[in-house]
Amino acid sequence: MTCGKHQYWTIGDNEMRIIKVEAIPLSLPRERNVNLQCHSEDSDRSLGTNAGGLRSLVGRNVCGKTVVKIVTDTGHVGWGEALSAATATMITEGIADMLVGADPTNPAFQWERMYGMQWQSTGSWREAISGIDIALWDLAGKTLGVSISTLLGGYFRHRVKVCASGISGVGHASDADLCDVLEAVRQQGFQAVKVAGGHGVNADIRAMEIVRNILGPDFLIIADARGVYDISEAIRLGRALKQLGGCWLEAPLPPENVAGYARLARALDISIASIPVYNRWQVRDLLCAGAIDIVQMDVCRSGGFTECKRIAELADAFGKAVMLHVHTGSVIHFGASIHLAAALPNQTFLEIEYTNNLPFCMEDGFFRVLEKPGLGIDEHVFPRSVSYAG
Amino acid sequence: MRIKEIDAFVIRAPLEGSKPHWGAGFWSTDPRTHPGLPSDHPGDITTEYPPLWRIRAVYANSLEAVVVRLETDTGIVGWGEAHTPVAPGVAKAVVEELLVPIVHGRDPLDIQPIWEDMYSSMRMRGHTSGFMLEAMSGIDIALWDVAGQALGVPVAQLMGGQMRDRIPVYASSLPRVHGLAGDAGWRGLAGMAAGLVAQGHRAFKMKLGMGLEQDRHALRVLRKAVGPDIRIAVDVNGAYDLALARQAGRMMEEEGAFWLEEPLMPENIRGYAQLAESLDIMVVAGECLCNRWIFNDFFVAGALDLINPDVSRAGGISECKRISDLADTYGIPFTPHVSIGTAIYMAASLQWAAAGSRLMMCEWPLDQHIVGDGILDEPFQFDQGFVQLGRHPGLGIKINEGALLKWNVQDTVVA
Repeated sequence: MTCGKHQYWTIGDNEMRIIKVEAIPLSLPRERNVNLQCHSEDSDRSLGTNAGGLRSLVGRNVCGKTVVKIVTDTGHVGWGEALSAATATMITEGIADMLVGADPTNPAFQWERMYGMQWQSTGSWREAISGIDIALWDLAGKTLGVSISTLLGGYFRHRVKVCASGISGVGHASDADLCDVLEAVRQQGFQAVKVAGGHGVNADIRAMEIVRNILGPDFLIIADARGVYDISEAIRLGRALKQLGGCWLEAPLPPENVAGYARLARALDISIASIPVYNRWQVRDLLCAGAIDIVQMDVCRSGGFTECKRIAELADAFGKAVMLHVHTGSVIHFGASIHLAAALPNQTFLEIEYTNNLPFCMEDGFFRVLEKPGLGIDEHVFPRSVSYAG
Repeated sequence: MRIKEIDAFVIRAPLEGSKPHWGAGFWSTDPRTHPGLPSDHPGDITTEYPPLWRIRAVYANSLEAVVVRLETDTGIVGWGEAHTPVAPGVAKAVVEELLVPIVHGRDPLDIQPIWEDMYSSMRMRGHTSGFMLEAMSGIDIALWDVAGQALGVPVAQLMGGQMRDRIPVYASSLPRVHGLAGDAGWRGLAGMAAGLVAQGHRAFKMKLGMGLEQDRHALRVLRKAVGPDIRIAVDVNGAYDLALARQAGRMMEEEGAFWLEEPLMPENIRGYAQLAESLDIMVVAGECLCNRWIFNDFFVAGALDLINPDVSRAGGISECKRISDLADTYGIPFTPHVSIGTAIYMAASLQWAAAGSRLMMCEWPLDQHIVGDGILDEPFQFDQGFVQLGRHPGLGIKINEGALLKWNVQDTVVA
């Protein structure tokens, strides 16, 4: 079987081809208001040089996603997910045609074709590639009869450590309210928490003190500064976090300031984590500069399994660990991240938004790895975990 | 599925094929002699450093390798190879005494956890290259062969996806011409090069490092023999110091050589960085480097333009794929190094070449010896500069176990 100049391998006696690529935009209502706006005008943040909350994330209480569905002529269906609902348009108008007729079982090859179409190494194009890549790995696993973790090289662990996030350090009606949230997090079994800061160094430190007091000395605490600080503020926060026994400081500076991160890394003893990265070239530059210690990536944004595996290996070559960002997403996003987390030697946490409606059962702060073919997610569970309107 | 049986066999077979043997110009079992060069003066190299005897590898008079055979409880047999041109008994012992207890009973699809367990067993004792990594390579390749057969696909497809099904190759290598060989020697060289082109080769490698003027003459002879469109890569096996390597690189740029391989001693990362910065010609190294961390140091230093790791030395298919992916992140292509060994080593190199996103071309040894095609039910298919990736699940080849193990020797020490 030939396609252009290339001859593709087929699985067994089948010659498998993609016949349909669907991209389904989703709006996932968040379970609760997680106070995402609190870091802007209402912040008690002291004066700084970094335009503060103006340049931080904008959060919404509706979460946009794109679910990707790829169907083959053999009747196999692969599922993927990309961040942002706008990505769906890119897939349906930009990529779907190119994939129809292609062999779905060589994800890395299709990855290069998709990337080569636009050479856009960040943003929605990257997210679109991520969603399709996940669906192709799902198909590869299903047709070969093995899980994606196995296809990625095998299982380094049989359970994946989870970190609760979506917990704001400020903006609660009272300290008691924050205590209630933290107690609920602990009751659910979490052993690690990421606290959203960026509300001013004093406010952040105070929040971390409360968190440490409530959760006790053994709880793993990560502080997320959401990229709002300048270097002197970040140093002050980092030193305080170290005193409180924090794991690491995430996104203390705006992400573009690689030199600043490098300076901060030299000044602080505590580890510094990136924001979820876009691609491996960004990671290469950060690591060559000595700018970060923990590479945070998101399988639905950073380029799917194909790229996230390469990013993890790149980080490993520098002796650095990775953290997988999920935050909010459908069961596909969760499942894909669990497969990746199982198969990477230098994996630390899988970050998820703290919620009572987890798509997978958590035991003592861990998810079990998934072992069924492909993503190993039963399609009948989709309606329960995503507003699937395909 | 579990790994039930692990065996390592020392292979010792006669060296056959092209005459003279392509290694003959450089090494021998006697480290005091240099058969390719006049005994009193190696070409017109005038510097004292590096003296040629410091870079002269010891080679056996026979083809030596260690092949690893894995068998699962489901009856699948996978083959791997450790690249051990001398002292194969050492790699065999590392497999048997150190690695077998780590690998036995494991799920062969857990290739990366097994790799990390093998590597970590001696990592903190400094065994991060050499025989240790060669032995690991043998097991790793066999694991991939098992995985491919278990899932019914070529190994390349399991490495994230297959990029190509025919692999561009270059012929390796034309031997050094004796400095005293005279016109007859040069005519012989021109004839060999023209013969390669007639066979369909579009690229080949020439062993040089005999001194600037003799090297220049060799390149002119070759270029005249093959015309302007054939890639002529040059390998000097660490023969130069930095200044001489710069001069040689400039000369090779003038003569249209394709790359300059191993201009310096392999430990000299800083020297490679200085050289790569000053030369236009691609600076290549990697055949003696093991593991991704060493390669990463070269990449960060901007020390190489192209790498040629060895799948049976650097840590197997797993590590070589990681190294070539890492290289790609720095915009650096790869060209698998393939030297003396069996068809298993060649097949593993081709599978990796098929899966890496930034392949330049793969080395293709000219010696079609008795443990090459001689142990395969279907020989490798070379055509017009490309080799077709085999279609069998796993490494793509079907090994005739009897033909291979005919060359197994129990006594691993040469008398």
